[in-house]
Amino acid sequence: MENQFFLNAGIPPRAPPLHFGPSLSSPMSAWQSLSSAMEIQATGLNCSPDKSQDCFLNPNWEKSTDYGLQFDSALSSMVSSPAASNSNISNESFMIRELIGKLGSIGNSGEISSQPLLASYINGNNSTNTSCYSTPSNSPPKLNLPMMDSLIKEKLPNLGKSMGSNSSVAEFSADPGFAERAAKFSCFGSRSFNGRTSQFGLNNNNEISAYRSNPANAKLPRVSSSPSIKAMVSQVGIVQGTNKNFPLQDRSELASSQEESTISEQNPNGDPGLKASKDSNSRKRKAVPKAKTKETSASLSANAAKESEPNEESNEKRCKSTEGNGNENGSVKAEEDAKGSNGNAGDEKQNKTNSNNSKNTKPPEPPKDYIHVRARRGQATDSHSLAERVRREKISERMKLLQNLVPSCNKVTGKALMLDEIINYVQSLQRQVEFLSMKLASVNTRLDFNVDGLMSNDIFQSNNTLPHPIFPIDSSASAFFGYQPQQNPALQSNISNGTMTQCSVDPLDTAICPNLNTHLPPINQFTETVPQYPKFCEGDLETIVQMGFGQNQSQEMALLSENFQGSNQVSHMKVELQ
Amino acid sequence: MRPPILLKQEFLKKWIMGLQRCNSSKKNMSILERKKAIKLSADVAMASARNGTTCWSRAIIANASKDGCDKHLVEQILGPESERLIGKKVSTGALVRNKRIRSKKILKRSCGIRRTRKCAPRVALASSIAEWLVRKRTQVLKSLIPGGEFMNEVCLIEETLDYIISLRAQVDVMRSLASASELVNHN
Repeated sequence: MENQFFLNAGIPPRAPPLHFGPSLSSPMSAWQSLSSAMEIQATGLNCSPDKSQDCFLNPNWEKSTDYGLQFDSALSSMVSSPAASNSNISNESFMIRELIGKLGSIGNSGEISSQPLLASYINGNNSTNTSCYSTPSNSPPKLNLPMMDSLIKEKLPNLGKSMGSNSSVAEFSADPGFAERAAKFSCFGSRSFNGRTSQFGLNNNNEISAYRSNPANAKLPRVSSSPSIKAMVSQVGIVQGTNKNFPLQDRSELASSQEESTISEQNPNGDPGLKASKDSNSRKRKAVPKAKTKETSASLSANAAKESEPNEESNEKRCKSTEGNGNENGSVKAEEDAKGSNGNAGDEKQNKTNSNNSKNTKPPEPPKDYIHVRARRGQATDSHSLAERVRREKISERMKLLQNLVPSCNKVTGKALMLDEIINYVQSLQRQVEFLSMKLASVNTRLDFNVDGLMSNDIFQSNNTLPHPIFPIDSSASAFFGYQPQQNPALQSNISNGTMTQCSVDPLDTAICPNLNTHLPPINQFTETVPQYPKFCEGDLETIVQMGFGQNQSQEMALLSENFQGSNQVSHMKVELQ
Repeated sequence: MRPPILLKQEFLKKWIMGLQRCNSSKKNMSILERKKAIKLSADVAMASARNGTTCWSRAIIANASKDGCDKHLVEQILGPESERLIGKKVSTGALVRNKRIRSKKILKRSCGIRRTRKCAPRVALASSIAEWLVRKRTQVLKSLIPGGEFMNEVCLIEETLDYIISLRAQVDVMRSLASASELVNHN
C-alpha cells in the first residue's frame, strides 16, 4: 500500500492512483497511512548523519538520471492543473492525490499520466480554492507532506484559512527546479558542503528537538534544520554519485517538509503574524523567488539541462565563490558568516543570510541561488538595494583578503587606492617573471636544466632550518632594505658554498636608495640601468639571498638582491618597499 | 588551500617537463626565443597546477593552445588532463559570456545615454569621482589578469587573489632555479 509506495523500489505502476479510487470515501485513512510512512522516513532522516546516510543509501528510489526530470514534470503538471481546473474542484484532496499519484508514477520509468486518472477521482470538496500548497508555514519544499499531515490533523476545512497567495503556488512550482539545482550544486559545492555538514549534523538534533518543544520558536530551528538535511543529503548525494542526487534531494524535501508540517500545525494562529512580519520585512528572497519562479515555471517543461542554463550563471558565481573560498582558507566562510549573520548561531552559513530569529517560513533553498538578506534597520528595503548591499559586502570581504595578501595594502583604505596597489603588485610580479625568464635564458644556453643536479641542492627545502650563518652583511642588508627579516633566512648548501666576502655596502646603499620607490623599469631598459648598480661578488649577495621556499613576502626584497650578481642582465630591483 | 610548497613543487615539475620538451624541439634558439619558451612553459605549468579550477588558468591554457606549435607544449605539460582542459569549452564559455557581457554593456549604454540626457548638468560628486576611479582601476586589473575581461567584480577579485598567489609561487621557484643554476654554472 502506501507504505510500500515509499519503502520499496518496486512501485507498482498504477497501483497508487488506482488505489485512491475506493479510498476516496475514507481519505483520512489513506492519508494517515501515508503520513505514517512519511514519518517513518522522517525519523529515519532525523537520525545522525551517519545513519541518515544509511537511510538514504537504501535504494528505495530508482536510480535513474531522469528521475528528477520525471518528478519535475510531474510537479509541473500538477502545478498547472490547479490553475487550469475550475475553482469548484477541491484543492487539497485533489492536490494530494495528484502528488501521491505523481510520486507513485515516478516509480515507473514510464509516462506520468496519472493526472488524468486522478482527476477522475476528484472528490468535490468545495473548500476555497486557495493554494493548497500554501501551508501555514508556507514554504515550497514542504509541499507534499505538510498538506497531508495538516489535512490529517486539522481536518480538511481548517485548511481553508490558507494563505491563499499566488506566491505560494509559484513557490511550489519553483520547487522542482530547486531540487535540481540543489542536486547540481551538491556536485559543485562538495568541498563547502563537507565543511558545513559537520556543523549541521551537530545542530540538527538539537534543533529538531527544540522546535518540537517550542512552537513559538519553531521557525528558527526549522529554517536551519532543513538546510542541514539538505546539506547532509547533498553530501550523501555526492558520495553516492550523480545518479542518486535527484531522488535524494526529493527525499530531503519530503523530510524537511515533514518536519515543517508538524510546526505548521502547532502554529495555526501564528500564521497571520508570520505573514505580517513577512510582508513588513522586505526580503530579497521574496523578490528573487518571484522572478525565479517565473523563470523556472517557464522552463519546467523543458529539459533539466535547459533549465540549468539560466541558473548556470548564478551557479557559476556561487561555485566560484565556494571554490574561491575553498581555495582560500576556510576563514573566508567564517568571515562572511560572521559578517552576515545578525547574531544567529551561525547555522545559516549555507544560506549566507543575514537572517535572525524572525526569518521564518521559507526554508533556505539550495543555497546557491538565493542570498537571503534582511533589510537593515533604517535602510532601504528595495530589492535592488539589498542586492547591491550583498554585492558590496562580498566585494569588501574579498578586498580584505587581498589586503592581507598584498603587502602594501595595509596602510591604504578605500577601494581605489587598494586597487591601485593591487595593480602595482600584479604588474611587478609579472615583470619579475619576465625578468627571471630572461635571466634563465641567459644562464642556460640550452634550456637544459639539470634537474637532478639542482634537486640535490635542496631546492625544495622549505623553511630551511639551517642556522642562519649570518653573514655580516645580512644585518646591513636588512638595514638598508629597511625591514626586519621575520624568520631566519634559510640558506641552502649551494649558497653556503659561495664566497662570502664583504663588500662595502655604502655604494650599494646610495645606489639603491634612489630606486627604492621606483617600479621595475621595463626590460627594454636593461642596459641603461645596469651601470647604476655596482657589481658585487656573487657570494656576497648570496648571503643575503634566502633560498628557501615558503618565506614571507617581505623577504622578497632581500631576494631581489640576488639580481645583483654580475650578469649583464642585472636587475632591476623591483622595489615595492612599503 | 594547499600549502605553497606543494604548489611550487608541482609547478617546478611541470615546468621542467615543458622546458625539456622545448629543448628537444629546437636546437639553437636565440636568447629571446629561449626566454619566451621559458616564460610560456612557466605560465602553462602554473596554470596547470590549478587544474582548471580558476578562470585565469583556463584562460592561459586556452590562449596557449590557440597557437599551433605551443599547443604541443601545452599538451605535454598538462599531461593526461590536456584533453579535458583544452577541450573544456573555455572558448565557447568565454564567447557566451562575452556575448552576454556585450549585450549587457549595450543595454547599459543605451540606458546610460538616456540617463545622462536627463541629468546632464550634474555636479561632479565625490562619490561619482570615486566610482569612476574604481571603475578605471578595475578595467586595468581586468587587462592584467588573464581572462579577466569576462568576469564581474566579485569573480575578478577572487581570481586576482588566486593569481597573485600563483605568481608569487612562480617567482619564487624561478628565482631559486635561476640562482641555483647560476651557481652550478659558475662552479
